[in-house]
Amino acid sequence: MAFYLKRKLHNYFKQARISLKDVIAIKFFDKNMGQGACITWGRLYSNEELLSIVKIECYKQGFKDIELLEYAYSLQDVVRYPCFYEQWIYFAQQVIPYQSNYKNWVRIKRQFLMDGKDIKFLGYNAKKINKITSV
Amino acid sequence: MENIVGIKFIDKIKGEGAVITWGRLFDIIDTTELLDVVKKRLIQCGAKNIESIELCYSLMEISDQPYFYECLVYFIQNPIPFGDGYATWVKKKRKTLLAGKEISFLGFKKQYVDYLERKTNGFLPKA
Repeated sequence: MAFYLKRKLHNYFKQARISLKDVIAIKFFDKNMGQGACITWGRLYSNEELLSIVKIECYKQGFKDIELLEYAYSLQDVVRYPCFYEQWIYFAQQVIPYQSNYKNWVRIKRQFLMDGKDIKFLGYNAKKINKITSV
Repeated sequence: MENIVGIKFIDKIKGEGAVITWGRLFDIIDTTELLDVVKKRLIQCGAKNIESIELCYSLMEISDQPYFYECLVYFIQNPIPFGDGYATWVKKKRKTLLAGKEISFLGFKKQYVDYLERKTNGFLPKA
């Protein structure tokens, strides 16, 4: 029992630590609307679960024919999308409470994602993105 | 030197990389001590054969590094207490840096470029 509790505590503190994957980007390609991307919280759900949550939200946003959906390498990967800075600032302004109440924060944010909040779309101007990339 | 600085380096094997950290803690002008501390930290990140390391003119210089935006957030969220608490803060942060913390490694650019090249051949069809 003591071993179990010790391990549980260890895992908790391991999780409640700053990570490069706290805020992540997801890219997608819609047959009709072209390339798109969004920023959201990482580490709250498993990779597959999060992708399916994002896919549902994409559908609500009008991306109804999604062919591909995948994690970006880093935020740098989506920096050229039209609304990147606006959405990045939203996440930058929120401090993750690693020191205390992390578990509660995770619970709240999980519900947020389920409700489609905190999945911030960066726009989908495929032509503009291609133009910038080629410069 | 600025309060938040970018330091770029080149590793013989892994290529170009950079870190973000606090500036002005060891010396306001001289970068020697800060660069030494960063060098020690970089060994833990896998950069063991550093050819050159230097302070950036501004953060703009390293804004194309893979994890720039992820790491910058931490420094935005922790404002410097200018005024009465500044001296204590500097003392505390010096210790933190010497322990190898708050030197945020932005990833190796070469690995990111490799990833992009792989992706060009696979994911995201040309629009």
